Amino acid sequence: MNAMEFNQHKVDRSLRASEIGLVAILLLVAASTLGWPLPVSALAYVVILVTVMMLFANRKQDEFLERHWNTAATTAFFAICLWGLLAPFTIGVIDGVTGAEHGRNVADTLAKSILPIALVSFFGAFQFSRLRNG
Amino acid sequence: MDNRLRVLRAERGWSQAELGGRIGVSRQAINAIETGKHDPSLPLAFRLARLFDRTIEEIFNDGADHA
Repeated sequence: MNAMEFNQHKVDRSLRASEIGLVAILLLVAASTLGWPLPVSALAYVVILVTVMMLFANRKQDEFLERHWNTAATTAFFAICLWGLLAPFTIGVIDGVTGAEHGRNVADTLAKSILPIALVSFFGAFQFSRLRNG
Repeated sequence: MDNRLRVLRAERGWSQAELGGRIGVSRQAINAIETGKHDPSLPLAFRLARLFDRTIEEIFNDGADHA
C-alpha cells in the first residue's frame, strides 16, 4: 500500500465514520424519546465520541473532507449559539401560552440539550454537505 | 468554476482515484472538482497545473473576462 492509497483509505474510513455517527445520533434520539435502557444511550455516546475523534484526526487528510468538517463544525456552532439565545425565550413563551409555570430551570434545560443539539446539527450538516457537494 | 480536468485526465487514461493519488487528494475531491461542486485550494490548483504541465488558467476558468 503506497502513501496515496493510504490517504484514500483514511478518507473512506472517515466518511463511513460520519455515517455511523449519524446512525448513532438517531439511536440516541430514539432511546431518549422512547425511554430505552441507559446502556443504549451510553453505547450511542461512545460510538459518537469515537466517530467525532476519527473525523477530527483525519480532517486534514483531504481538502474535500476538511470542507465537510468545516461546514459541520460551523453549523454546530451556529446551532448552539441560536439555541442558547432562543431556548429561554421559547420556554418563556410556552409557559406564557399554557398559563402554567412548569418550574423548568432554563440553565438546566440548556445544559441538558446543548450536546444533543450540537451533535445532531454537526452530523446532519456533514451529511448534507456530502449530498450537496459530491 | 469551469475546468478542463476531466478532459485532461481522460487524455491520459487516468481514473479519478489515480489522479487523486498522484496529487494527494481523494477521488471524491477530484469528482467534486470536475463537476464544479468544489473549487480547489491554490496549492492543489498549482499541483494540478504542474502535473498536467499547464498553467492554472489553462485548466480552470472563473468566467471572468481576462482581456
